[in-house]
Amino acid sequence: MRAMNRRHFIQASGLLMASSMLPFSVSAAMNSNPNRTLVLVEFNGGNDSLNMVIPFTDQQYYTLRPSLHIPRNEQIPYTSTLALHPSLRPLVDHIDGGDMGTILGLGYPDPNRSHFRSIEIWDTASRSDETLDSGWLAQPRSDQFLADAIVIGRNFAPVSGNQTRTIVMDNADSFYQKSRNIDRVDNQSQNNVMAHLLKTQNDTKQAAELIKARLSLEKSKLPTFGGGVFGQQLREVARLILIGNTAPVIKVSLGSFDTHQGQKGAQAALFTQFAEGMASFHHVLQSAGYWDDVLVMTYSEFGRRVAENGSGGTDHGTAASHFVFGGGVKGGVYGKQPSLSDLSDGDLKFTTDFRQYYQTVQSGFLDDQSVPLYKPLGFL
Amino acid sequence: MTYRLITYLLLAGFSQSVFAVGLSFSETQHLLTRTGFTPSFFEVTAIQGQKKTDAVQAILDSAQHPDGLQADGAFTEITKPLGRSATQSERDMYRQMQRESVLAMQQWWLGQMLTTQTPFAEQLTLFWHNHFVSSIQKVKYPALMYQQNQLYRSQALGNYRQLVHDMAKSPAMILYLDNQTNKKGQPNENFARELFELFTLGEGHYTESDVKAAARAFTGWQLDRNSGAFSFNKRQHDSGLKTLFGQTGNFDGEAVIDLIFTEKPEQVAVHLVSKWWLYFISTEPDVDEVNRLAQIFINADFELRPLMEALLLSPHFWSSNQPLLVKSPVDLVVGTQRIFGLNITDKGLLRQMGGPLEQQLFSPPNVKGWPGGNAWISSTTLLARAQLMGQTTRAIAGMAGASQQPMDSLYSSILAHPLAEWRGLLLPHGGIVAEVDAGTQPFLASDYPNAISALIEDPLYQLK
Repeated sequence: MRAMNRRHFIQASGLLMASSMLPFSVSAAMNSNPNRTLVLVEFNGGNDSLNMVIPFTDQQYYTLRPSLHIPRNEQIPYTSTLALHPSLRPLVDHIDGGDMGTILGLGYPDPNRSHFRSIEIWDTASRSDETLDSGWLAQPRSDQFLADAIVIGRNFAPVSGNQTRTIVMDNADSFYQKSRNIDRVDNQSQNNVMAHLLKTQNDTKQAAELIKARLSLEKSKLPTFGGGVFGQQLREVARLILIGNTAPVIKVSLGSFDTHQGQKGAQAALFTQFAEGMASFHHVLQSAGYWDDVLVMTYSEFGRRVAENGSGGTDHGTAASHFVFGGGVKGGVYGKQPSLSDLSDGDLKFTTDFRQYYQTVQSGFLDDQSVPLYKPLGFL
Repeated sequence: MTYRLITYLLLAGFSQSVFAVGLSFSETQHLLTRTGFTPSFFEVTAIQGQKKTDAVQAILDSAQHPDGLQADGAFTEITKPLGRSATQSERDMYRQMQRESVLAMQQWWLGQMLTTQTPFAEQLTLFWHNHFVSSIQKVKYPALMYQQNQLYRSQALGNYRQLVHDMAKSPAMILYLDNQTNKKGQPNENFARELFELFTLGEGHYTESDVKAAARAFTGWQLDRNSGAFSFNKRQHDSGLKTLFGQTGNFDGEAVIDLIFTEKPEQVAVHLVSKWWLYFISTEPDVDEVNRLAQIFINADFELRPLMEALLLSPHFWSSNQPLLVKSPVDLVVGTQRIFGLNITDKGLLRQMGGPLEQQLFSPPNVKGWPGGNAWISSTTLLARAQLMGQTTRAIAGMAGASQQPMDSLYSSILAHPLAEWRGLLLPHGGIVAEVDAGTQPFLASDYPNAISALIEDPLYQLK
């Protein structure tokens, strides 16, 4: 565990200031600790978190999910009222409970059940009735990083902004190899399409030149991180962290969690990839002495309907629970499990605004010195 | 070579007024690139000088008479699913066969785009594939994806309402959005939600209770897995009363689709016009012009041809002397090959399209399709595109170099035009890196491919 500077928070309500305040992405410039890396894990498609963090003492859970509930004897004990999905076993076996936090009932008022609109709300930290252009982590950061953010895979919306140097890659070696085919360009354009192309080309070339110098330093062979693409992605994240000063934010994603049908097997397979990958990630960074400077956080566009549908799956829902991991995390459960009996049109009523979740990370990990807009949750 | 599109253009040419100002080279290049793929000199010169309205009519005609409506191959035929008693080796063989079928189907469509005489029909088929999305990743049966693809090609400029009806019954869609398991008493909302959000109205123009009611209306819409055809399962259909858009009745799926068009025509029209704008005009739709076009669409009872005609004749379509759209990976792969008469559809290229270039045919990333626009370009796709252009120019140089005969078709077609003309064709808005002085020719004919490669490898070749 790493000692954190505790800030004094005055208000008890979730929202500290009027929501017309500036969005996260334009808050004051940050002095990111160069050694820290925030790792975003997007559960793509809307994860059914009721089968991930199970309110096992609530009879409604079994009633509304006659075929889809996780049987008691398969659940992993977690707290007196919550249990975990059996495929998450590697998490509890390998990661100290003090380094794992669970935040319950994350959501936002007037929830949107469209994948695309809801992930946009999460990516930009907007209200349900406003549209923002930049991602919640779009702040430009220090030039000492080779990029402001690196995305392994797809969807760079949370780190996308006009000034942000966002690099998308599969792995650092092929990124550098291929970058030799392009050159810097000096031209500028007012036309948004040309401007985007030229900026991407220059950011890519710059990052590639920087990464080249560091790749030679990194010779260590990492173990495999479980099966599947997710393990490969997380392994690449570990490598980038070990290289050092690559980017303060790195994103990966796992999916699809859009389990309208055949949820049981599909979700279990995804959780296996997640948990095995995370266990290896933890092991590698812990051994190298980097674990205290890493924070992993999961998110998804929404949770899913409490009652199962007729296809062995669940339809789009609202609030969901998420995990954080890292040496600086104060382990435990945060927030309140939404009631399975007091539903809104069949869906959970959120208990914690997802922007409080973000605020906790901004203030407690990314060292954002500006006055918090939302009340942090205390897991850092 | 007989170009069906060109036939239409020549026919249209007879009505050309002697007073009309014809399309210039760059206007022709623009029209053909935006409605099809980067054209060859042959295609441009066949149209250049035509009256704008005639050229547009000819292109619309061509899309309504597409070639490629028949394909040969195992992927066109329904394969019966394996029974529960199948052995492991039977399952392995079946999976192997499916994989080969999928590849053959992708190669067929790519080849169709490379050789078609009706490129606008292919570009529209690709648009519909990305609008009414299904993916082989979930559908699994190639024949069902193929059928859906042919539906989009044959109805590319038909009636939108009818297309929505047909799409909703297409077996690939029934599997892709889980209508197969949407049953009375246990509705599955997947299709109903996307029908409203992505296919017709757009987000914000329907309520959660509309979604729930529509899901019930589509219960029992299934496919017969043995015949691969749509079948209505009456026992699984919820025929009870439903309330949608404030109207109550015992609506079925067909009634729901009709209700969308009668109750919310403006939203339907604006939604499609906006998507067409982003696909054919620019990343920034003009609100007034979108509304004008939407009204034309409504007045035409959702016939697609009058809308497309108005869009292609809109001043906004012709207004810019700058590139306003990013070429899709398909645009790049197909357009570049067509110019030089290449026909590469190998496994490696398809793997590249699905991997780093991020556009695998029959396999869009999710139900919203490829995001398109500026999102085509990220650091990773930019590098993949640079690599692709390098490979393509090496293929061109290799073919040109291998053919020592001066009259070889590729070589002579390259030599037939001064570099300034090549620059006009490949970089109509100018380039960043590639500088070619008009009138300056390479000293040696063998330097020509290199000079042309420089044009294709210019960053602005990625735009259109």
